[in-house]
Amino acid sequence: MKIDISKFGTTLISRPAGREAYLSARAYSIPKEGDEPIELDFSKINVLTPSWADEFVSGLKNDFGSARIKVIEGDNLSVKTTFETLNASAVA
Amino acid sequence: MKALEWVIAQEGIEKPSQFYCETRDIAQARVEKMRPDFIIHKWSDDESGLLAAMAGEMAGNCFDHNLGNWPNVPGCWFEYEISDTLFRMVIADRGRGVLTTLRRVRPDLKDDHEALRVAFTEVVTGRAPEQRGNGLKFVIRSLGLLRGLQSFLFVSGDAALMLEGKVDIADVPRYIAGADTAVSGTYVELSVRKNI
Repeated sequence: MKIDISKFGTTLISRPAGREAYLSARAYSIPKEGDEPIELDFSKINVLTPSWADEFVSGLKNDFGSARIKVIEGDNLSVKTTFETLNASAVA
Repeated sequence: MKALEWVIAQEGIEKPSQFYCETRDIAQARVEKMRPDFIIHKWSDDESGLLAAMAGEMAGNCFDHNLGNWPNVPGCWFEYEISDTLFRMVIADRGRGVLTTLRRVRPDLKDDHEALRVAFTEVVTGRAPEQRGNGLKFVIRSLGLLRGLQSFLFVSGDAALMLEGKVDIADVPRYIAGADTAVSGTYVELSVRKNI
């Protein structure tokens, strides 16, 4: 299944907002049953920060497992730079 | 009143409403207003998105690390100007500063200079065990992508990171020096020329 992240807004900045979006996605957007891959589509996002993305993506990975979560970054530079930063810190 | 005067002043100071954000909600709303302002002045999606994200991270830091522990005046100063050619932003807070924040998890830090080096180069956060500490690394990575970067100044305590023009962000510690004016919280100034 694919989640269009722009449904949570297109300027995604703060940790509290990322946490709230994660809780909402967990409750309403992801089926309780099944193990199909979950695609997070950021391609319509204008502004993304590591704070928001960390709360949202890490929360879902903790709940559903990293293997099920796939991020579609799109072309926005703040999205790409956010995930480069998070991925670099995960490797470090 | 200028941001630097506000951030170093004693208690009982004026709080200019056009720049002062007492709560995170106010700061976030101002960050969200940046994007339409960038569009009016025909900045690219890449530049405007990156600059707004940097603003969001740095304004968020003011609250993330001081909520419930403000020494006196809560909130942050958030000021920006966007024109057809230039972007300028100042974010400042009267919080506890980088050294005090990081010493909670790194009690071995000896001074403000070392605290800035760690904050900008290592994934570490005063809010451990939460998995945080990427914000300033994101800011540095973003600065390296801005071809129109004129200057970036980050002051906390008596240490300052000062980047001017195109710099090698892999060598950030080399740009940390003594601050002209010490601040107990943090003071950030960014100036970028539009990359046409």
